[in-house]
Amino acid sequence: MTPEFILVLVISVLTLAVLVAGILFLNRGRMKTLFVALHILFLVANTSWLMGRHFQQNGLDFLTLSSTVMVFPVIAILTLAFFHGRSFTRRIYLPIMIFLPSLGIVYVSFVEKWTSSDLYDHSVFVYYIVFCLAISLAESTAVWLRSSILRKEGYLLVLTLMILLATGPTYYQELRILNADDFIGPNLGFPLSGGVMLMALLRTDYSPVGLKTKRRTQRDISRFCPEPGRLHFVSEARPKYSRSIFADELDNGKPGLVLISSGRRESAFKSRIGNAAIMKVSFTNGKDSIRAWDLGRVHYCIRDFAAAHRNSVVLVDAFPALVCNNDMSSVRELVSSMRSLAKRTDCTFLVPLSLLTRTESSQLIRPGDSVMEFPDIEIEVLERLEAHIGNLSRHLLRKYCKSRGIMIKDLLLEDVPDLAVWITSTLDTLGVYAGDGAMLRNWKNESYSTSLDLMRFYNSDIEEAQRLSTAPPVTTESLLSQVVYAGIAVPPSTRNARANKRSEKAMKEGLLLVFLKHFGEAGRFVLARELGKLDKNLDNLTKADLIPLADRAQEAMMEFGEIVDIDHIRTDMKSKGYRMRDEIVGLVSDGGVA
Amino acid sequence: MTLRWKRLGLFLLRALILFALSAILVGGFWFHAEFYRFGLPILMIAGAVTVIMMVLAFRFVISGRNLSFSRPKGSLEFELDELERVRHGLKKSTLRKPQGERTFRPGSVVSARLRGADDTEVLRLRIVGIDRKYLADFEKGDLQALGIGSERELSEMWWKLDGRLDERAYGELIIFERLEKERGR
Repeated sequence: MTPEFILVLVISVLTLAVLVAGILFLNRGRMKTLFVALHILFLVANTSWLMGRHFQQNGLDFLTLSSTVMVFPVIAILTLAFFHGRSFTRRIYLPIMIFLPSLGIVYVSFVEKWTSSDLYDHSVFVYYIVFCLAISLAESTAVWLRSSILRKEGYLLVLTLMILLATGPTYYQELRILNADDFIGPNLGFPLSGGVMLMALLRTDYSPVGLKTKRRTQRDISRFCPEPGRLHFVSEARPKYSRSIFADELDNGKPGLVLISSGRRESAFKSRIGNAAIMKVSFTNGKDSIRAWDLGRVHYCIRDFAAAHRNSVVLVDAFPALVCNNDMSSVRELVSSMRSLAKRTDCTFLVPLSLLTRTESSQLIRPGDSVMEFPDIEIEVLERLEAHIGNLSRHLLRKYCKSRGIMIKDLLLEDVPDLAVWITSTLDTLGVYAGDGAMLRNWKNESYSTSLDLMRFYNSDIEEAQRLSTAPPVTTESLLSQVVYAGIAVPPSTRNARANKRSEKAMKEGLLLVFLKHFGEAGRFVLARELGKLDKNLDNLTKADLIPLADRAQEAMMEFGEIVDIDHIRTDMKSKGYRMRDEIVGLVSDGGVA
Repeated sequence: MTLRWKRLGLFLLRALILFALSAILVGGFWFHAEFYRFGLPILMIAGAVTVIMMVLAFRFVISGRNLSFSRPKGSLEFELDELERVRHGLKKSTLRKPQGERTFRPGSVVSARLRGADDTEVLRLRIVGIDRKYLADFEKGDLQALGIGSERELSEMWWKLDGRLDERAYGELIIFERLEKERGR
């Protein structure tokens, strides 16, 4: 065995090792296929060269030649697929156009009886490899120099190509000059370039296949419907609404990806969204975590997920961590890539602006961006409570939050109806302890008006959001006015359906409130009993059922009056029954609490 | 060894590297004499590219640029007792108000200085990461890393920084590790 033979044998074994490493560690389907194909071609080229020298067979030399020719288009395709993802591989004619000439060259070489040792002497082949390498080199150099978030990947691929160039065509000439013709044929630098390429691929190898996500059947209805195919900034004091919207979108059956940082609250949120793909943003690298300063990986993770799951929802919950660990130009580039990705894939991107300074937010929001603004719910609720019950409000709110296992600052708009019911029943109970009839009545009236005020606040927000969603496109030149508050811009039919469902939900909550007001805590049981008599329950209750229900409620109230054999109470119950009926009938026209 | 001898040694090392590069350049011209047959234009382009690369290599060697990646890129100020805790590994992060532009990033090396003193570097730290949190969301581990024991101490720390305290206050937590090499001692 000559030294050349042993050297090429060692190179082939190393290539095989890189190939096995790629098979073991790579996840991304297309990139893995291309990587494996490239290495198999090199392996075939080197092995057939070895065998050809050993057995002196021309057929094997043709195998060396053809696989060497096909290596270059595969490299070009791999580079383009790496940086452009599915948008490149979906346009199948592009890879075919790059690859097809290689088959032509193989055919010509077969007809003209070229050998692997004089392959580089034919100008057609030289022009073709220059074309392929120019594509790859131009693409990766552009990414390296221009992108601030994909710079490392671009650099690694440039390095790969330089090694290939040096150990391929340049090496061929060098061997001639140095009179080492025996080495002409194999590419000795391939294991090295393959290793560097594997590093680049592994840096971005976050396959959605590895992430658990599945479509769920529609279970609930969103209160806020962000327009699909857009990036939405969520302006909120704490990351509550963005999470709530994300959870709603998941419940609506959309697949979702959340980039989340570590922490106790984040863990609680993760348990709420068990069916979403979760990628942790931390300060260490791991299988399911990305380092906060590695925006390239964040980009690839989001891109691959969005490409694999069209019309999905992506929440960048750890956005503050990305902002404070990177420079603003890189973050702007990431946001920009998310904008274009949202358009291409119809995905909804939610980016919370909590924990960002005003300067940072203003640097990220562009004219025409969607900014969903939400009220500070705990402040709004406290203001309303204080107007009715004064200093008791904070205490009651704290009690309510404690009973629900949350903190005041975590209160959501979705909690308001429940809070209204809780406040009514609590105040009523407190009134009973007063032991004074007149005081009790005032107390009940106050509790009722508090609940109504809260429910008005809850419903007014929907109306406000609807008004904003139907706002005409902004044409003013002012930068500020060009920021579109497109919170729930969805197609009209969907919006109407959703608005109807919201209205039904408000109606049911209003109904419960009316029963609680008149019957106290027993209201729940009375409501259930009366609904049972109509063969209904709260889930399948419609507006058409409200009139018979109102009649039954009135009768129930009067029955109570009949039981108590005192005239003025009987009269009182009667008038209360009428009032109750009117209030329930009022729900039909309002779609909520009147 | 005196500074003079050190400089002389460095000069000799650089001269040696320059000589090696020059030898490679001349050897390249000798061995590639065969390239002359490709004609002047190709020779000029290929030769120019090679020479440029060699010139860049020369430039790098002659410039004497420090290759050390551990030069400080900013500084963090501490009180005396905080510095002691950093030195003994009891404090691994510091709290500050969120700022727009900062001179360092995760992985950067920064100088630890004594607040109110001159620019003397007391310790060298490497930034592990930067996190932003509401004060209310600080967990036990965060407090331990800050070298404090309770939320009250955290409130006091924030009061010193910001001069006010509200429920929505949030701060930037700079997590660092101490580099072994100490300065100023």
